[in-house]
Amino acid sequence: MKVNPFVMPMVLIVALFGITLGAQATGNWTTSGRDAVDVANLTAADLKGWMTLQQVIDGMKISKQELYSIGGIPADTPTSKALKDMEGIVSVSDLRIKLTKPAASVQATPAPTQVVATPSTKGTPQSTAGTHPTPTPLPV
Amino acid sequence: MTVNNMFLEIQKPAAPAGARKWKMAWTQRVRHLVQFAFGAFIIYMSVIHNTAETDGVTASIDALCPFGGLETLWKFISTGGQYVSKTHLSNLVLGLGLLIGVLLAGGAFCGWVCPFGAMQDLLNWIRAKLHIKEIRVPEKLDRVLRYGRYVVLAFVLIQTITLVKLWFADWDPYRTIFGLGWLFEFNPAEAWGAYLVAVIIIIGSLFIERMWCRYLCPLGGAISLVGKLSFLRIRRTEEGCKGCNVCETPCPVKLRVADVKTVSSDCIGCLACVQACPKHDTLDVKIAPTWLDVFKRNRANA
Repeated sequence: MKVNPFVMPMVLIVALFGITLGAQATGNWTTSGRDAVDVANLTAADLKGWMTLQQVIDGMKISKQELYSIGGIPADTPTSKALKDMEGIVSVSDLRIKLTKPAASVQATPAPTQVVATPSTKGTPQSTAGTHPTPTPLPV
Repeated sequence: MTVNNMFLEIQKPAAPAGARKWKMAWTQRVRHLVQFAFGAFIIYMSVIHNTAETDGVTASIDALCPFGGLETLWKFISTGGQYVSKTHLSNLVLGLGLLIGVLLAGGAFCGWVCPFGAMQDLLNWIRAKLHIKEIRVPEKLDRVLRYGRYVVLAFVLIQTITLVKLWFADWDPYRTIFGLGWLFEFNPAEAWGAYLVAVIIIIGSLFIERMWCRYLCPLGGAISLVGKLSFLRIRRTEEGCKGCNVCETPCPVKLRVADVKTVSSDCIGCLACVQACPKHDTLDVKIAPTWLDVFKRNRANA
């Protein structure tokens, strides 16, 4: 059956918009992983590119030294830096894998609780350095 | 067809030439307007994402790409709801919308919606204005090169599943150009590969019309595969066709139209061929899926 040629693009655009608007109307539309993550209680699988190193430290309840050591992150990197800005050093995917194993052992041994109590998500290296008087050496 | 008949057909065109020309221009103008609207929307979203002061509150163009839905689908199914990094529920929703759209209307997404397709149309327009000679890929080579889309599609999906990351994001010319990273965070040291691919594609598309769409686009490959089942197809009626080949000239993806019954699923639905055809009721958009032909043939044979 012959139809008006414009039906072709119209049907496609209606399908695209219809599904999208339907999803938005029913609450099935997210364009960021931020809403789905409880930043206070992170697992390695929850790590996202927008998270800062401080948020990872706080959320995963590990020390700055542990995170930097596991991730191979230079010691002078500020904890306010987002993971996505460190793709050249360690990708989010690699960090997830690297943190998966240590995370289990970290939970078995009590972590420095001062870090967990830090409410700020925009901590600086100086502010967290004070909570760890004996920093572990970073791998060369 | 005798010479006399041909003459009669030329003497009595189905519509005045001027009216047909105007109609053709009007159709393509509407298409370019729609393309511009979608392209402008993506650029706007990209600008506000790049200039947002708080990270994560505006949608990146990664989140607005239906191909991301295909890339993250395996992880979503295998993990019961997790996504590959940089993809979200929006990707799956857009992917579903596109799937339904392609099943209904074929590859019109590429011709009317995709901003990267629009950019290539713009490059082709610039080439024509600058009187640069178009490179015509020989038909046999063209046929082989078109499989490139499926190779890229398979490779991207395998890499994404294996590495559990948006592997293609580091190379995707659409993301490189429309993500505007080159404008806001120019970083050749890290992103040189992406810049190189984008520049090659831009230069290539300047000389070969819709080069990316025809030979490399993984989303185009997926659309072409699903499009084989689509309900709306451009069909040619052999009885009315006088074999003038006028319909093939404006095709941006250089498909064979004049000697086929149904235009290939590689069609981007731009409608240029339908509008170019000088005879009415010869080349039309029809609700006539090709699988129905097979069904009818089997039924007739039974």
